[in-house]
Amino acid sequence: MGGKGTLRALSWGRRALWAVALTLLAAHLALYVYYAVALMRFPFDYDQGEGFELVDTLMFAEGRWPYRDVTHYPFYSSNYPPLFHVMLVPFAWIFGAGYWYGRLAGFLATLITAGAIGWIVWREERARWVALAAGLAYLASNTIYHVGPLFRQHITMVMFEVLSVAVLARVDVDGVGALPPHPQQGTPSPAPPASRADARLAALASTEGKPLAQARRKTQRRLALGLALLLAAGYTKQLALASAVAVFGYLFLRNPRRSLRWGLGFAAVGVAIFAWVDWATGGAWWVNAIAANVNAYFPSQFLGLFRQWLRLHGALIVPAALLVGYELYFTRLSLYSVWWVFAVANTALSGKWGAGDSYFATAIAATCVLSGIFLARTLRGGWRWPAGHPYLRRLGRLRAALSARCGALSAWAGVLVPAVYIVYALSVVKLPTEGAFFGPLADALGVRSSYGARYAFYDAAGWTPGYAAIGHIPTREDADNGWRIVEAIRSDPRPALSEEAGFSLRARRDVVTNPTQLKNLYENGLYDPAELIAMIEAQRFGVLVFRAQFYPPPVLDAAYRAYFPAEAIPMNGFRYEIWRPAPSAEVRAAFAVALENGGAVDVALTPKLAERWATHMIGYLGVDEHTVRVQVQPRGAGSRVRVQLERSDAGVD
Amino acid sequence: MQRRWWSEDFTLSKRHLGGVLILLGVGAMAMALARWLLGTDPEGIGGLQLMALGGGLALIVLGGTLLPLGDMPA
Repeated sequence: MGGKGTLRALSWGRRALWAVALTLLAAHLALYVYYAVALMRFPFDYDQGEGFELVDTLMFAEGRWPYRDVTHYPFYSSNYPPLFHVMLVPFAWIFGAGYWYGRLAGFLATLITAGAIGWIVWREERARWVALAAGLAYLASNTIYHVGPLFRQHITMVMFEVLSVAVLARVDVDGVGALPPHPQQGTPSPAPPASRADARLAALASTEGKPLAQARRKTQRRLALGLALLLAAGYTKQLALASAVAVFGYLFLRNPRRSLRWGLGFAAVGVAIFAWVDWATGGAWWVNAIAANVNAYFPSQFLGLFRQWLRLHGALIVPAALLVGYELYFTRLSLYSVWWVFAVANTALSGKWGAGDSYFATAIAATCVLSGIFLARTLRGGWRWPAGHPYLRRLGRLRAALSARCGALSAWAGVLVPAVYIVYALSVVKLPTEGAFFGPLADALGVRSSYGARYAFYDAAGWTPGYAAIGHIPTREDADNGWRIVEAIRSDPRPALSEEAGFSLRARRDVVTNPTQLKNLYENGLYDPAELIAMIEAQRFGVLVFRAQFYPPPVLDAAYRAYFPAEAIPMNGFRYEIWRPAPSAEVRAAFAVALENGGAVDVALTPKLAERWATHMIGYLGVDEHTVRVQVQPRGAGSRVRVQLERSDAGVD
Repeated sequence: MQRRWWSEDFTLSKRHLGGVLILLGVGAMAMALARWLLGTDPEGIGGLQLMALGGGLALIVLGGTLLPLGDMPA
């Protein structure tokens, strides 16, 4: 009776825990949808770089390549492959320049990815709730949350990767693969079929005649479809290379001949597309998409992000790793496991300058798949241990004990599995801390903004270098301030040099430069900024709009000489500086002399702006501000800036 | 041997996989050490080399544990 009572209690506990787990994951989903809709309504760059992806889309819509020679005006080139932008071209034709459709595409890509993860788990193990939880777990991740609904191509690459793996993982099921193990391979495998997949494949090995031909065609169709999706991932973002290596590594393990044959075909198509784009862009594709992506590497950035990933996703990483270990030692490696290993290894690239936590997105998707399969198999007691296994011989008693308690263990697994998802859902908590609903909720949960006054958002991820400090809901004030920046650009007929493209697009001005791309090219010795510097020194731009100043140092130096920060406008927790043209080179030189010897210069600026320019020059020239006193007085339409030298030896004997 | 490797039903064993992992591990460690010994990095063994050394060692250990599994398909 006691045993029955325990089982009944476990059954109730299981249901209650599933209700809690799915409620928590559904709450994460609701927040994600809310955030995504808020971003789709926001008319400017939310994350740095979104505007340049929009520019790429608009250029494709106009039939132009975004891979260009950056040494000449407008000094713009893209550094990403084209597929994501090409997919959005119909939206650009219909709606013009808009952020919403790119963000919608990213958001839908995450939903498709989550659906594919759930589908894989359900297909492999037929466990509804675990499949649902596995899909929701992907959307609940802090990284997927804040990267998903952006106008960025990364998450679409992940979608193609997951779809490709979903197709290719079944390439030997219902088709012709490399089974059974080769008779010359020595003793036949002592392992029983690892899953229904292997069992069905073993049965198919005896298939002959017409069914075999049909199965072969099916295999080929799956290979073709899966590899086409993989190619799509690669031409969405270069980072998918790791998934390609994983796929061909897996195919090689299964059958080297098939792997090499299909690999050659895959490489031929990939290289042909690459060569065509490079030819069509006069070599700019190679320079901008490949050569410019060799950046400085910071191991500490990778280690910080890796530790953060472990902390947030640990509840799922442990079962995922256990499944990989099981397959490695006791049965055959599935594509899921090989992919997970490569995806995790590829996170090492997150230590590159400009990279970040988004580089973990593929590993997160693979972790959700593997942990889902592990937990579902545990739930249904589907683990099998091969007889005569060298390592298991020593653990015979343990195996016997486990087999004897199979029923009780299954009941406990029913409690353990939802508990894993509860722990995970609580690990990845993030939410806005202001607003009619979220304010009281944050108070009730006792959480405060992780970013202080910068913006109202709590993120359990904390922060480490490379982690994108976004996720908050943009406010009306953010949008209004964005339009103020647009007005600043419109106030001058000349083009603007803006660190983000959105403001120039809204002001209907040329988008000039892709700053980080120029910086990458410059640091790789692939960019001569002379023409841009000459334009800055000639003050050919009405305003400069800076956020992070990610330009090549000589460009920044020219900007510091020829312009000065006239105004700072906050938006999205960042400080956007509007730099306006400084007085002429002669006046600047006269002012530099005045800073050494004392004197005065007349400038065509209002007293307020003249004071800001003088302060900027003192900082730029490295003058100790305690050694000079600057006074600004109105003079005609401009101002007179007078410099008096303070006694630097005051108080010194 | 070559024909068997190229046949339609050949599949790699755990022993093969173990051997591949050991080779990869040795390669990673050799490259990290070579970079240090050749003095291309003036600051000695850096973070990247340490990661390569650690990863290489892990691969060698992992590969070694697969060797006893013999002809089990990988």
